[in-house]
Amino acid sequence: MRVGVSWSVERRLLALSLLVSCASAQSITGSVYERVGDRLVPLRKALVSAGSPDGRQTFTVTRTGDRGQYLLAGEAAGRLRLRAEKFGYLVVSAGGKKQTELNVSCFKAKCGPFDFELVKGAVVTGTAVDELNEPVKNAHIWLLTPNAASMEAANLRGEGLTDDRGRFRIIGLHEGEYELHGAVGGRGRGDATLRSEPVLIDVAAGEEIGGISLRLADIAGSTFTVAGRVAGVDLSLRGDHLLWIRPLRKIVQAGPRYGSYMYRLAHDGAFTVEDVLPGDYVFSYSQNPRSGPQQRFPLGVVRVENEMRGFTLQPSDPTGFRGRVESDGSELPNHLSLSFVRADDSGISTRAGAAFPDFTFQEKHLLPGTYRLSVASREFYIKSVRIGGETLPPQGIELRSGDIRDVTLIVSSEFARVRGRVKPSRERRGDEPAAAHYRVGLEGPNGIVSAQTDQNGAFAFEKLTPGPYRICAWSDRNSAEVHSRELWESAGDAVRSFLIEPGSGVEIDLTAVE
Amino acid sequence: MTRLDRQDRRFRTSPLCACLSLLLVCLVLAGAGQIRTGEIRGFVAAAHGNEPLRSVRVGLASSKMSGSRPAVSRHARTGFDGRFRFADLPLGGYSLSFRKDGYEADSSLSASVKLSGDEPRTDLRVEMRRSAAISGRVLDADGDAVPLATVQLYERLTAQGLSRLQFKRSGVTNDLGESRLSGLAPGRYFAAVQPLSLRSPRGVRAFEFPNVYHPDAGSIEESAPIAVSWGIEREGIDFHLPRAMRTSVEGSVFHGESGQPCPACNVIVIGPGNITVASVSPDEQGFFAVRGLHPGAYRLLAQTGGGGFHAEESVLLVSRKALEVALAVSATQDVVGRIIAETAPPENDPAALTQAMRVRLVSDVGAPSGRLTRLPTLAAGGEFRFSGVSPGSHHVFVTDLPKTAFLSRMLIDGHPLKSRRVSVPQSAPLEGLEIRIAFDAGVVQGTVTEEGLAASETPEGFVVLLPGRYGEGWHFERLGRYRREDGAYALSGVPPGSYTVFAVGRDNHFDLGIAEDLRYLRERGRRVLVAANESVTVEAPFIANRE
Repeated sequence: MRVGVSWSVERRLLALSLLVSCASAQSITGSVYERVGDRLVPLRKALVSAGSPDGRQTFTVTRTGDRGQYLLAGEAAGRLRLRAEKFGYLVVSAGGKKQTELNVSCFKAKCGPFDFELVKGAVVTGTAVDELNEPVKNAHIWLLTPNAASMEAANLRGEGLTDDRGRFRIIGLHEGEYELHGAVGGRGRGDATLRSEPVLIDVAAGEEIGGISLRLADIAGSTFTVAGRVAGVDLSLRGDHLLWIRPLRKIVQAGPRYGSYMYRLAHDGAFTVEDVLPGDYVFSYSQNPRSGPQQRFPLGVVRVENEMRGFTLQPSDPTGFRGRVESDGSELPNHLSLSFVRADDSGISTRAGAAFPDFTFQEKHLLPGTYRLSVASREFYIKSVRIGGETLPPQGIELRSGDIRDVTLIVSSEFARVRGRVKPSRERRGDEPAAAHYRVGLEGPNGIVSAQTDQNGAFAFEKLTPGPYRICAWSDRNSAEVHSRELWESAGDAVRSFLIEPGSGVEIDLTAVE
Repeated sequence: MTRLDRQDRRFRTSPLCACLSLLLVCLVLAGAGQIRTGEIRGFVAAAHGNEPLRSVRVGLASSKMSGSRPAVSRHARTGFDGRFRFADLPLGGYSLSFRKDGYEADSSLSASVKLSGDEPRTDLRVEMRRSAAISGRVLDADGDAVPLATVQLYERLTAQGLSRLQFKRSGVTNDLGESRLSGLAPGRYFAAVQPLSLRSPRGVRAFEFPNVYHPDAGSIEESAPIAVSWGIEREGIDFHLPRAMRTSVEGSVFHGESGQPCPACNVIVIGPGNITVASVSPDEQGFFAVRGLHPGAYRLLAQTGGGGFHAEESVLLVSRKALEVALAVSATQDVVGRIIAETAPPENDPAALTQAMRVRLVSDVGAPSGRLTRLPTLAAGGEFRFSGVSPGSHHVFVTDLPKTAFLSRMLIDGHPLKSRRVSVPQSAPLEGLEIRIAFDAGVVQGTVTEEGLAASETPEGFVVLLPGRYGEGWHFERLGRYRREDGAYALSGVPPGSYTVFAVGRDNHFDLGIAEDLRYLRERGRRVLVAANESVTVEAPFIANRE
């Protein structure tokens, strides 16, 4: 029988209580509070867990007691990520900062206290009915930031489905204003598409708003029928001949679940798609033969803004990439999965594989556009792309219609890392001797990432692709705020720039800004 | 919902549609001239009343096809008055479907209509029954709500002598601990709370609360079923979860031959009633641990996804004790056998020799095992082979027999089996399985009668032949449809013997695995004796559900 509890993956016992069972065990302690108005009250039965810094593994969990206190017992082995959660609650702060979890380093017998502050999320309940006042089951209800121009800006804040009585209950909302939407049915599949007009609501922290009635109606004229034919494909092949339609970008009024739909083509390639919202759609055709792999061919991007009948689509000229993967010296695995990601805001990506022994690949069914090439692996990255005699970074590769570009992808496993320590700003040094749980932002070839300092102000970024970087630290920002351009600009000279070479480690000390 | 009809595919209704026999009122259009179009209209009401049902989704599709689609396809919804109408329809055959949330257990009703020159208009009346629902709360020992608990409903089914719990529906509690399972057909349901598991390292499944069965029982045997009928809302079906159980079973899974760990071998924990309560994937060293289950007897199964390897162990979990096990997986096996005719097929059944029969192996937990690589026919010697069968006990089922044949007995290596159970060894294939069928069957025919009701008003259902000693030997229930318009039925392929015959509705509540139900049905049914190669006529009394 094993005794004792450990954080490392080699020991796998799970602590479910507050007991410390081994004389050599370390402990992490703290409290979880609930903010109720101006007061902080102990929060019982909150779940507190400790896991790996990347969040991929959980080592141990426990619940807070009646006084909101917790104790996680084990043999401390370095850096951990602590989380506190309770269903229906939102994390306001962790370690006194605007963080939702805490990075800590625990090398002593007792670490902590590490405290969390949660607040009960607001709740919105109501009923969805149709035009005859009948409850609507399985209607999708979602909340967005009001008046958002795009789905990305709309920032989905909560969603749910109605039950057989048409009732919905959405919990865990931040205080603020929301646009409440509802929809059911779709795409002419036998059920009429019903939608609601958005309802504006304003909720306070912990408030429960009930009795909202969402009327779902067939909004005439808001959707269109698209009917046409797919030509230029061999419909005589036995198997399924399918038309796929997906919005090029998410459509705000359609909700987050309005995605890709499949329709079976008639024997002559005809199709009719009803209830299509206005927008740009990617049409593609796929053959699912009885024997052989599925093949999908893009038919193009179609803008739907009125009724469309009698048009013909045919597969675009083959457009894409072919070539091989080479290593810069690292040993390649048997198989690598490559991604070709459109650089626009559609997020459309296509995959292809390159396998031992020759690591060649081909993908010739892409839409024209600008692409970023990457490899779906935690152990490799694309260092550069050779096209003709030129060596280019893997971003911003142009593809025109009808082009099959011959490329060589140079992959490497020589990642870099950045570590360091943050000092509090001069204004804070008196109150905060260490830059505990500050936020460090790092901008590089793959965009902006961020990390939290531990209780001693130390931070680390691992598995970075080499290239030019900028770094800055803030005393009290969360990970979302660090993506703001304005925040970086206002940091001024506090932002440091440097170059990372493959396989290198950079140590850098920073002074935080407010 | 049929409790007596589980294995017999001939009588299984489509999961989406159940055909109604509707009252048709045909109106003939007046006037001269050739009629080329017609109209279908109707009224949808709540069952046992005249209350119109609004927003019923009505689908219409013509029988005539255009390519791969119906030539005519339309949709409508009933209005405030419960009425719908499809006009200007080309003459011909049509099928209609009727669907409304909260009715008919989330299934749709269907009807067929033909519009002709003589009868170009049809007026339908459809009745729909409100579904049942079960709701309640899940609370912990302090009376606090338990969110994100999975509440599951099971229904006990007995078919061909094998009783098992079949999963029907589940739902997750909200932040108030509330759950609601709706869209239910009448029946008796067992409710359970699936243990809540906490985020854990790979290889570990830790449950904060043990599995609990309504009302607050630790095993299915101690639980009580919840009976619902059409339109019934059973509220207050609450669960009170006890504090965490300090039980633990842990160990390793490895290949028996090489001793190497088997991280691809999923470990499944099966509790009383053959319900799966947990599954966990071992870590890279083959280690696994399951903690916090209710004390009691469990079975651990370790198997790869493709069915190539298997291990099984029975364990007894005791509170405050950790149990260590070692699961050594071994390769799955083949099962080889033959179907042999003991008597010659009759001349009036020429297809008997070429009928492709089907053999199934079902494990004790009700899961199909192995893959049948060849469908046996008598003309080809009746041979069959299963590959990928996990060692252990299995039930053998034979279906799709020729219509004049019946299962006579089973043997292994020439020795008669007392039941349909076979045991597949750990390290060798099972060979020599003989399934004997005979053709000197009888026929039972007649009409279904129900006191006080015309035959055409008898609910939709089926006729049941119960053998004299149910579950003994190889004779189990036999099922057949009857015609609603005149109650006529005919069951062929009946083994000679003594039976009780009766009819039950499609949504009957009877379970042949419950002695009380068996007794109730025998008392109200009609006795009949069937001789070899003879036909007997007998009335089948319709037995309604008990209130």
